[in-house]
Amino acid sequence: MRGLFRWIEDRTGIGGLMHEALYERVPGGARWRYVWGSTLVFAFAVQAITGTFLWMAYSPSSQTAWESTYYIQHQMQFGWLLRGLHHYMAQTMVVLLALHLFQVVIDGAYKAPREFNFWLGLILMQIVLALALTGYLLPWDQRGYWSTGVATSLMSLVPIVGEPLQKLVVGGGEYGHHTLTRFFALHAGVLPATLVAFLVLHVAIFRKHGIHPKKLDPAKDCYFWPDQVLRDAVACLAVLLVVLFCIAMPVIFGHDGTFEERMAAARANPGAHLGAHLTAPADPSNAFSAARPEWYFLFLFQFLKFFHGEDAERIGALYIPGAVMGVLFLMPILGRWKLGHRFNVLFLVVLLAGAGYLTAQAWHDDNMAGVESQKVEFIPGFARTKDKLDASKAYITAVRDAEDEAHRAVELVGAPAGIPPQGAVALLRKDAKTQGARLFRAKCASCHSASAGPDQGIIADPPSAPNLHDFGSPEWIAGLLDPKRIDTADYFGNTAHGTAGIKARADAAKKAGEDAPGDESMTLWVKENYSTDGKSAAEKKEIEDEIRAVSAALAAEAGIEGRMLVATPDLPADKVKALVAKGQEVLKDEGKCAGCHKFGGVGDLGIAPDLTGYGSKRWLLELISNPAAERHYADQNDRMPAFAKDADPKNNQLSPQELELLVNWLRGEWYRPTE
Amino acid sequence: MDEIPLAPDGPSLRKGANSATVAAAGKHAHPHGPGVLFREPPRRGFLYNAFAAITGALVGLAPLAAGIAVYLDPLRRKKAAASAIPVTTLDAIPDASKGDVLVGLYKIVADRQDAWNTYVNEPVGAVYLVVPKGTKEIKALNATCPHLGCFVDLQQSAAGYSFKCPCHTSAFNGDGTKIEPCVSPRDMDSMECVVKKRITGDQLDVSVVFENFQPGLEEKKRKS
Ligand code: FES
Repeated sequence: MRGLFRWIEDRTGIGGLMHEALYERVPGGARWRYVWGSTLVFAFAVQAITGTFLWMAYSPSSQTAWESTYYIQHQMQFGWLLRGLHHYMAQTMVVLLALHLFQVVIDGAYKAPREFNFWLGLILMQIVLALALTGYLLPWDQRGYWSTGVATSLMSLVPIVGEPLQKLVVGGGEYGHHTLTRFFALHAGVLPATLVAFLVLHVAIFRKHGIHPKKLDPAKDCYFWPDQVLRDAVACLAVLLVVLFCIAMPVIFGHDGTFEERMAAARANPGAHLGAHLTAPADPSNAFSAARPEWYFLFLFQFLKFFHGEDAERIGALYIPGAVMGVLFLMPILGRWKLGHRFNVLFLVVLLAGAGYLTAQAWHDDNMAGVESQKVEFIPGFARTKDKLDASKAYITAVRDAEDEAHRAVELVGAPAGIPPQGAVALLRKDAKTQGARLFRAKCASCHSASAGPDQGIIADPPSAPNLHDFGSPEWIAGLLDPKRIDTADYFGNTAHGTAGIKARADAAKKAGEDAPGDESMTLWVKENYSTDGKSAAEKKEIEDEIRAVSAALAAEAGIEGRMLVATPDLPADKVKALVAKGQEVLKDEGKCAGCHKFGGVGDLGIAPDLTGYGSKRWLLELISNPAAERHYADQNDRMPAFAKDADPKNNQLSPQELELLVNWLRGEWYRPTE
Repeated sequence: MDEIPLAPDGPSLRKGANSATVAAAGKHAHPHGPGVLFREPPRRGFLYNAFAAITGALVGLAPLAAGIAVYLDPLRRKKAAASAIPVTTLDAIPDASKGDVLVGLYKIVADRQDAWNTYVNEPVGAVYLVVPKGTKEIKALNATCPHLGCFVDLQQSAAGYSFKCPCHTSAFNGDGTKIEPCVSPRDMDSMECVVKKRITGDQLDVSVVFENFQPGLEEKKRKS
């Protein structure tokens, strides 16, 4: 054995190198404060290892980046752990960098002859930050996409070469395949290679000068091995534990259910509960109002809010950060004087405090509406103004939407059909649950709400048309037939068909010298015929039964699964059938519904909407396409626009696909995973 | 290599180079190495040295140059000229005598080229159509924030509407002009909007010449 070692040693000198590495003298003895450099090397090693394995499963293109990341996170065994390690170690690395820098400056370890090493360290810091920035985009999710977009837009501020520079980095005018291939080449190739080169130099020069002793005490001198190595190893272990803790955080601090329930859920489906987040796939046409950079860049993000206009922006985004870097680079020179050293320390403290303040402010700006933060209002820049509260509310909603959408994306790609070659974004664009809601918000929510109650769903401000939550269900229809509810904002209260609306129309007609509109209003009819005030118990029951029957019949017309009257032990199937039949009778009764509405061949069109197939897909499609059609509201149409009246879909506000998404959404018809 | 001192003369060059490496390893060099003392490095003619340096540089630069040439490719590509994309139809231009009127938010659907892929009829952006107060003209505003490119949100209330960027607090009036103080260097980007009456009927066809602009700058500069 010894012979073999000797043979290898003669030819390689490895033993000598090891000896040199381990028996470096540590003047003044091993100390905890020297561990930061080693933890950084450790962190980098973790990134290199986890990164290499991620690389083996990742595919950089706009159709595959999100998809492969999803696959790692949700499908590959321990993918969540690998991603989690890489994600949180990156963040930890930034913190360690700050600590290392702090320790070096406070200890004056940048002074002669270690200037070069300090400079190399600063370059390494830039490289690590560039790695963080490029890595954020690679999953190609909404968050990375929109946040990185802000960062690359800043490049256009660079004088003279701004635009071409931006084009080169992005790989064209807009984000796409080449943005990913370029960012990935930087992230996994160019930057790590440069980092290694500088790291080797950094460590070599560090070894040349030895550790900068905190205190000289020759009696305590020791060797790197094992005293300092032990401390370093313990520190690295602590770093690893912190990272593992972050990976498990959603389970430890989550909101849904008890800890045990979250544990069980994580055990069943770890990818969905542990490790790094993944928002919905990037979609340039879908706004993402929750775009924020990673938390350690948040102070820069906040900083930008203070610079108004191009020139100011240039100062805030380029010159000030540049100047700060400049001062950092000059530190070893300034540090030659005692006062200079004090300045350096002070500068760094102010810098970190400033970054801390801005980070806190950014967080507060975004979240103030969700927290009781009056206590901090006395801090300058932390006031709760109406504008800021509104913005914060919007941000919180956007975050919630983003979470829902992320969740939905995972649900959709988990469907039996899987991910098509066009990518997951194609699935989302065809998803009634998310896109229908977006369309409703964009096209309908200026009048209609779709809300189960205060602070739920989509709420129009103010509502001026019926609340369409649960539309087509027996409950919804019964509400419309309820004299106490039909005239509220949830139904016709704020429309031309409510009492106020009818009166306004009558007044307007009177003013114009025309005939007042007839009294064929639904609201008036319901109030007159279905009011139970002062009625006997038998009459009351009769009215209630009739409303139930009509609701059941109309819900059956709509035919929405989950929104129809179904048989229960208390209500056998034949009773349901009878109820529906009774409702149909009422609908066909010319003294009642059919007096105005057409239903099943009875009654006329043109006065009120046709109730044949009421609420069905086709009925809704036609209504939204053209509410003023004879089959629907005809000349009684209140302000609802025609969204797809033209035969040529190009000329319509809603394309056929959009129309279908919206209708399916109103009917609550979308893909639901089976348990 | 040329910085490692070479042994003085030809025949011993190999051996010398070997020991030089060992010597360069420093104080822990292998004790059994042949300790050779070096004299001054050899002098060669200027041309000789220059030739060595240039050849070395060339072999290194050739692949690098090829790489950089490919890397610069995006600069060469020009965007196709924008054409009018139909967005919506209207029965009439809304009356904006009392205040700005919002017609709506519309997705722009067009063909998109992403490197090797052509996407047909894809949403490529979005516009807000508005009618500024007192005018009778529809104005198309790009929904991309002129500050740094976030998607500008619509804020509606009983009092009217305005635009607000969710990123760095930029806010814009209903006609797209900045609400000061504003981080954005310019108003929201308006684009040419073509409103034509349909040959049959009274309907108005609204098309937008959709373009994206460089964010961050005071000047409204088309993205090339
Ligand atoms: S991107 Fe809109 S304010 Fe900055």
